[in-house]
Amino acid sequence: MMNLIVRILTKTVCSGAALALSLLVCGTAPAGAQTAGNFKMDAFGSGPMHYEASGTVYFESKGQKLIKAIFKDNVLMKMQNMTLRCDNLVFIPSTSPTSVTLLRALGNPVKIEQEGVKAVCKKFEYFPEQKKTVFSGDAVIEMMLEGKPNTVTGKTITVIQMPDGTLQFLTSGPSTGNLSSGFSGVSTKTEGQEKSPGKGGTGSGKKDNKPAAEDSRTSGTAPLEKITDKAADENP
Amino acid sequence: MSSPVPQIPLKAILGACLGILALLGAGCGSSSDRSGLSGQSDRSPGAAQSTERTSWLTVKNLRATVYRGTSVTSVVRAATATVDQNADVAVLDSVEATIFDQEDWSTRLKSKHGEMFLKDSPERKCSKNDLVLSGGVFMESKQGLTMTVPSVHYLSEKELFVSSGGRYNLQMPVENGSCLSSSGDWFDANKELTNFTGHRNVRGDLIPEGSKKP
Repeated sequence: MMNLIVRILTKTVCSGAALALSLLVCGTAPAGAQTAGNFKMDAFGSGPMHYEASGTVYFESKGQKLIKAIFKDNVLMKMQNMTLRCDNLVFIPSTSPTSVTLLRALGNPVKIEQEGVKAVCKKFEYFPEQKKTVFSGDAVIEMMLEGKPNTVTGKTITVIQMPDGTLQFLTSGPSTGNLSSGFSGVSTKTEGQEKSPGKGGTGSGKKDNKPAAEDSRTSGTAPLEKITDKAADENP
Repeated sequence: MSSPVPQIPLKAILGACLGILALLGAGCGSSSDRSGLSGQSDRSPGAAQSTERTSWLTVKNLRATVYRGTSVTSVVRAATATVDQNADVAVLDSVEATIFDQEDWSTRLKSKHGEMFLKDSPERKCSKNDLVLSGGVFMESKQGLTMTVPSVHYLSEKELFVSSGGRYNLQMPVENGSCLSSSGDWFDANKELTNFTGHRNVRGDLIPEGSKKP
């Protein structure tokens, strides 16, 4: 029995100027899985990795410890269950060579694909010690939740893995979360005014299931490629 | 079994040879049957052919030690070293070079051919004591990094390596048995190979021990 509650809360960022939406996804994910739908945080920087870059790749080492790697121009990085494309990638390993202390990718745009998940943004950062992933710059995350497509957009989307294994999505700036398909109890707050409950939050998946601040990128029925390509065009 | 290698600084060898050349005169330069002198070679080792050489001096089992102050910065061994009459470059065969840092060796190189610059060569953009190795160059660092490259230039003053002539292939062990590989069109690196930059069409893998490529 699915036991999934989606809440969208208002939260102001430090400047107080921007509205942030917090999507707290509390699910019944299998024990040990770090997923929201198919989103796997531990795919970043773990396991074998293949890389390509048309420009340069810089390695800094000390003894047999790889301290830093920097990849430039048309970077492709393939990890287990994940592909990352960007123009500039900084990889700082942790004490274990195949896990990272920091993974930072910069744009044109950054494209990340996992099974069932696509993300586009201008800047991507992964902080494994904090169990935090930050997608910045017109970020769009499309993922499958319970087999149905869902989209989160925002100027910045921060994904934090909670101690119980669930993921918390924090978005800032003009943000939308279209988690209408298959979920009940969806509520939205935009600019301090709550519109609750969201239309069609019962799994109809129709086009009218739109949060108040929705733009053309946030439709749950829009083709994924169209969404990501639009975001890519907007990035420098 | 290898023959014993004379432990004579290159400067001393060259000084003696140039003295012999001066005594023999220009007419003797083309004679190949005189001890310590050989005729002009038609061999063209790697990137070693830019100047016209009229007279040659061949030294077998060369060992050349390069100093900076009182510290040894590199030792170059070669099965044969041929010096032209201008003594601006020694053309080497079967080369083994060791680059030292302040405490110990940092990088070792082996190649079929090489050149060691005995003077600055602006037209070749090389400085005194620079090494240009070619022909299946194998490099290894003290940390266990290994690499093959068609040709590499060691800039003695800057203590840098710069490759040319084809793709490099690098294998670098990292902690816990993992292995980092890289290949690219060319690279530059410090003499310890700890700051390494691969250039153009770089690709590779970071493979944990026991894992397969993704």
